[in-house]
Amino acid sequence: MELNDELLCAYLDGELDETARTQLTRALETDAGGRVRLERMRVADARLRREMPPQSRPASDPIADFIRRHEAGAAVAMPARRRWIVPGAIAAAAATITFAVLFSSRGVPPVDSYAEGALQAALETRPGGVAGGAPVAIVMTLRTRDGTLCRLFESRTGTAAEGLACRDEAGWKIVAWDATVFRGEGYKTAGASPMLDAAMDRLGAEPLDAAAERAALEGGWKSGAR
Amino acid sequence: MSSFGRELVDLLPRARRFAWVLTRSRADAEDVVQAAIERALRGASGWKPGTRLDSWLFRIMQNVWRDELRAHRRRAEPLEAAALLPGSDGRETNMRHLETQEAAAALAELPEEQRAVIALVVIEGLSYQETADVLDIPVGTVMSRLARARARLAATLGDDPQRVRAAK
Repeated sequence: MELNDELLCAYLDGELDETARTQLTRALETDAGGRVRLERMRVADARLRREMPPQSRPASDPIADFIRRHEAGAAVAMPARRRWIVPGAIAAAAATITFAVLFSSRGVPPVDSYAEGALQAALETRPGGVAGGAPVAIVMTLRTRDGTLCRLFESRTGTAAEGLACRDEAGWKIVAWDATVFRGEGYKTAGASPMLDAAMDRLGAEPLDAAAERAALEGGWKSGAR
Repeated sequence: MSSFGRELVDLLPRARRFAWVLTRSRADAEDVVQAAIERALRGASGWKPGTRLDSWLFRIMQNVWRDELRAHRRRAEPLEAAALLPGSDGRETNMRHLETQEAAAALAELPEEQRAVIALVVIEGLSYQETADVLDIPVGTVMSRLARARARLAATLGDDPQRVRAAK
């Protein structure tokens, strides 16, 4: 019996029938190389299982909450997805917060400068939600790896863009923005900006749920380790 | 809550792990799980009681991720981007718990097709037939991908770290 990797795998995974299993066990007795290969596979398997446990969320789990509310028959919306567009129906069903603010026509200020005027006011005071068509909308609030609070926003005045701003002691600093997520009539293309994705990945930014966002807003945007 | 809902909630930690293996990004993983749960709840009738709920959800997740790649013409990052290891280029896109794990990094270096079979067979414990059903491929393909993936993982993870380093 020739011991190839497929056979060794099937042996490890309990996919061999009794006859093949016996044959393989016998072949292994005289095949030191085969025994080493099998043992290395077994060790690698054990490490994968040990080092990659199921990924529980330590605190509240917005997806679990969604399932529970859905099961309870409530008309509920998922929290906004960070980077994929929320389907229209869900967005509409969401308690979307739309607000109109006077906003200068200059669009989003340059990266590394601080938000001013209506954008600053929206970042500082508005709760998040998917706001279709509003001049400035807060898409969601995130906390970075080092505890800094950031907000993903959409601005539709001047050059329509989606941007990321993070709070420091001086205010809301623009980290990145991208005008290419909007096309034509200001519709957002599905699949947001790779640039913003990269910025959020770099910062290790994770979305906050509504309660955590409220707490951050009411707490004056003080950063803190998560 | 129905047993269907309860089981779905109980599955979330495993779903997040599988999503991370598919996407290699914490943020994408969360999005895959969320989109799959939305589909699962909408299409709950598509699940037959008495069959495995985990396989059913994994299949939906796999489809969600495939649709996402197709819709946005994204490609799973090339192998070099297994610069996922913390410190290698300053980016840490792994799930926090997985960031420091050598096993996760070794797995992340494999092509997506191989990662998926390893996740389903080795980590989740599905049979070859169940894995073939989730991924919509023949059992023979599961076996050949698994053999290639295991050969590579055995090379990187099959020994204790000291001996592996000494051998290089």
